[in-house]
Amino acid sequence: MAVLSARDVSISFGGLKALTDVDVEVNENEIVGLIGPNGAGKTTFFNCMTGFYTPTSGDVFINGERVSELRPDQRTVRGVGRTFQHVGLVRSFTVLENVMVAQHRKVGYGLLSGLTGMPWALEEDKVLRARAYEVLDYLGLAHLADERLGGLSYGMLKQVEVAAVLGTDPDVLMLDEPLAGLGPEESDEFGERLLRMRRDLSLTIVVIEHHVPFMLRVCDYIYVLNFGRLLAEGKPEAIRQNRDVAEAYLGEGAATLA
Amino acid sequence: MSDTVAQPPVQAPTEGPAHGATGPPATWRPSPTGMIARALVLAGLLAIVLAAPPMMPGVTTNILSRVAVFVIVALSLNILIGYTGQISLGHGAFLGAGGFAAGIAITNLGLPWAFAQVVAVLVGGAFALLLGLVALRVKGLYLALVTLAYGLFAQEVLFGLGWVSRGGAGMPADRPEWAMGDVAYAYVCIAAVALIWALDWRLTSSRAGRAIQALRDSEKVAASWGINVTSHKLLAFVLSGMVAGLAGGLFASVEQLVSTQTFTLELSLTFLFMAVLGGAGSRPGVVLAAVLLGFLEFFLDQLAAAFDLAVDGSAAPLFSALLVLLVLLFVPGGLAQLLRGVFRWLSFQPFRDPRGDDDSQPAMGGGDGGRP
Repeated sequence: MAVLSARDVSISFGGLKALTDVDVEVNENEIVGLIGPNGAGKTTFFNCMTGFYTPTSGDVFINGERVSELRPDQRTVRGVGRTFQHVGLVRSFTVLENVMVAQHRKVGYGLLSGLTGMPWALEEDKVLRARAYEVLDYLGLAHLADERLGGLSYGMLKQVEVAAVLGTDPDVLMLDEPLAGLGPEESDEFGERLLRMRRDLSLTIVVIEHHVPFMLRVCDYIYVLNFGRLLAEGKPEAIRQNRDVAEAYLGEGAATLA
Repeated sequence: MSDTVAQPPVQAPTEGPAHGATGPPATWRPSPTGMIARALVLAGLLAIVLAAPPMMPGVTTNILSRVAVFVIVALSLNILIGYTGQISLGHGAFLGAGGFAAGIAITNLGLPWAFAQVVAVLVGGAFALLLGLVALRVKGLYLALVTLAYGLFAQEVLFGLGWVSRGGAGMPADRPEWAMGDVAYAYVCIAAVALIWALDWRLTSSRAGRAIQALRDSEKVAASWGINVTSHKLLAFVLSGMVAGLAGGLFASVEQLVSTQTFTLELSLTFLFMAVLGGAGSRPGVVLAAVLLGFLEFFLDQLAAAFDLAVDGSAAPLFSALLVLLVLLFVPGGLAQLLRGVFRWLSFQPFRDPRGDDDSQPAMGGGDGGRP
C-alpha cells in the first residue's frame, strides 16, 4: 500500500502555477527520488505533502488517510518527517537538545507534571535524553551531543537535522537536499547510511537531490519534475536514458543524464 | 566519523534507553572545594535576601516588596520576550488586571487574601489569552504596537471605570491577617519570587518550555517536529499573564490600595528595560536587572539625601534609559552576557564554557532558521 501519495496535486501562488496535477505514489520501504531543474517545484511539493502549503486542488494521503487540510504538526504525528532545504534546527539549543525537542510528541507527561517536576516527568525526560543520544549515536554523531550549532559545518548541521527528524519517529522520511555541504566521499557515506536506515528502521524515504549519480544509485524509483509538472517517472535506469529528462536538465540535444 | 558509521547499528532509536558502552556523556561536577565555595556563596546571597526585610529603614520595607513584585513581572515578561520571542509593551496591563482583580475580590467580594491571589492569576491569564489570540495573527513591530495599545486601553479605559477604581479613589486591598506587617508581607513577596523562579526553571526544563523555545527560533521547524505552534504560543501568553497577574495580586496589598495612575506606559517600559538589561532569556540576568532597576529610585533618593544632591529618585527613568542604551551598545546580551561566567559558576558549572563563549543571541520576534 502507498504510505504517501499525492493525487492531482496543484497549487498556484497568484498567477503562478507552481504545481500542476502532480501524481506521486510512495510505497512502503521504498526510496523515492524527486529530481528536476531549479524552480521545478520540488520543495513546493514537499511543502504540500507536509502541510506547510495547502494544495489549491488535489489530495494528499498518509497511510491511506486523507490529510490535505491537516496542519504540519498533525501530519508529523501521522508519520511524515521532513528536513528543510535550509537547515531546520533550533539555533539556541545544543545538538542533543534539538533531538530531544524533536521527540515532542513522544512525551507523555502533561504541562502541570512538567512544571511541578513530578517524578514520572523527570524520569521521562531522562529516557528522552537517552533516546536522543541513541539516535545521535546511530548516525555517528554522538560526539557532537553537547555542541552548540554555531560551531558546526553546514554538512554536519544537515546530518544533525536528519537525527532530529528521526526523533519524531517517522514512517516516511522526506529529505530536502541532504547532500548540501557534503564532499563526494561523505555523500557516498550518506548514501550507504540511507540504505541502512531504511533497513534498520523500516523507513520509507523521499529525497530531493541534484546529485544525479547519487540518486540513480540510491533510489528505487524516481519522479522528475519540470515547470511544476511531472516530466517522467520510472526506475533509475529508465530515467537515466530518458531523452526528455536529459534535455530538461542538460539542455537540448543531450541524450542521457549520466 | 566514518568508523563509527561502519559499525552495525544496535537497535532502532524507537526502543528504550541505551545500555551499553556508549551512553550520554557524564555531566560535569565541580570539585569538593568548588562545591563548598558555590554553596557558601549561594547561602550568603540567600542570607542577604532573607535578612533584608527587617533591616530596611523605617517605612521603606515596602520598597522591598515592590522590588519582589517587579522581579516576578520581569520573569513573566521573560517568558514572552526571552522564551517565546514575542514582545509586550503592555505588561503593566496584566499587572493592573491582577491588582484590581485581587482588590475587587478582597474588598467587594470579601474573599480571603489567598483566594484573591488565585483570582488575580486567573484574570491575568485571561487578559493575556486575549493578547495571545492577536499575536497569532500579528508579528514583530505590529505586535509591539498592538500590545502598546492594549496597555494604554487598559490604563485609560478599563482601570478608569467607576466600579474598578472606585471613582478614581482606588480599590483597597487588605493584607491577609497572617501577614499584616510590612516585614511579614515582604517575606510573602520574596517567597512568591522563589516559587515563580522554581516554576520558571521547571518550565524551561520540561516539554512545554522546550517546545515554546523551539518555536521562537522557527515556527516551521517546530511544526515539523509535531509541535502545535498555535497552542504553545497561546500557552506562553497565558503563563506569562498568570505570573504577571500574581504579581499584580501581590502588588495590590503592598500599599493596600490599587490606583489607576500606577499602571502607566512608563511602568510597562520599565519592565521591558528589565528584560533587555538582564538579557532576554536569562533567568538570573532578568532577576538581577529587575532588582537593580527596582531599587534605582530608592538608591538615588538615599544618595541625594546623604550627599545633598539635586538629582534624586525622580531621575530614575532617565538613569535606567541611559543604562539600557549603554547595554545595547556595549553588551547586547545584557547582564547575562556580562556575568555569564558568574552565573555559570553559581549554577554548579565551570566558570568558563569549554566550548567557548556563545554570543549568538536568539533574535527577538523569532528568526526563520527553517525557511522551506
